[in-house]
Amino acid sequence: MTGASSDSSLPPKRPHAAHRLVPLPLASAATSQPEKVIQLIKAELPGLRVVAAIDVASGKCLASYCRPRAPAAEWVAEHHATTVRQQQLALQAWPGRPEQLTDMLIPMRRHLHLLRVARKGEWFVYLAVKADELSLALAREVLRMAMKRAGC
Amino acid sequence: MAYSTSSPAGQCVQNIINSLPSLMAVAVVDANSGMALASHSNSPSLNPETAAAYNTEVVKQKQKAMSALKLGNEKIDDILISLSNQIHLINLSDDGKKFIYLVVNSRDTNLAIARDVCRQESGLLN
Repeated sequence: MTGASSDSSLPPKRPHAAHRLVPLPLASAATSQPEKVIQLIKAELPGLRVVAAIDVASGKCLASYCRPRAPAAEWVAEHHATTVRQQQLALQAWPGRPEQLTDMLIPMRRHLHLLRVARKGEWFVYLAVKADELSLALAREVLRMAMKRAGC
Repeated sequence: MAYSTSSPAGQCVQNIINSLPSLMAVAVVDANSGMALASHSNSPSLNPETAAAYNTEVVKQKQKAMSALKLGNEKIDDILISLSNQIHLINLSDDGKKFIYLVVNSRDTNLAIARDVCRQESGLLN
């Protein structure tokens, strides 16, 4: 019996929340922007819980960072991508000049969740911070500036 | 005008129109069905009831995301959506059964004012 066959009997590993950056395996110019945004936000907000760049169409994480004991971004990426897609659908039903979704802010009692869509609307950044560590306006500004500096 | 001021939802819509006369559209929506209990639009081409139906799904999706994050002790009070020229606000009532859906032009009203007006009026819906 080989080592590989004994490993296959183990249950699949759940994604765990550790310090990590998860780059997309493809090394193209399109992947560098999400990674850059994550790095910029992480440098600006050392106490953040979760930040992830998520592809709108597939709901897959392009890059992410989680604080220890925070939920892994991959778990909720698809839900947030559906939220953005749903909002984009709502905008299509809106008559007149087409409007572009810029950001969605979901403030809660203890946590602030922010979604900001990149210029072309193909991916977005999801940022979660604790409400007692950062104000909504400041979190929004940090996110806006990081995306601007990364050119998206 | 699709509301009567004799109902709490209609009164809420009327109060918001009084506070923000330049608003684009406003509706009070049943969060379960997505149907508007009262609505008003300042432009005949804008139908807030259609947009409210779509936004009900936005609220439900965000609640699913919260469940996935195991944030059961958290509650969504409002969702603030910024577009290129407009601000859309969804403000849920305390029991989460209804929400106010407000659309303003970002040149006329800022996010903080629109949010404050909605927050004041959502108390009427309980």
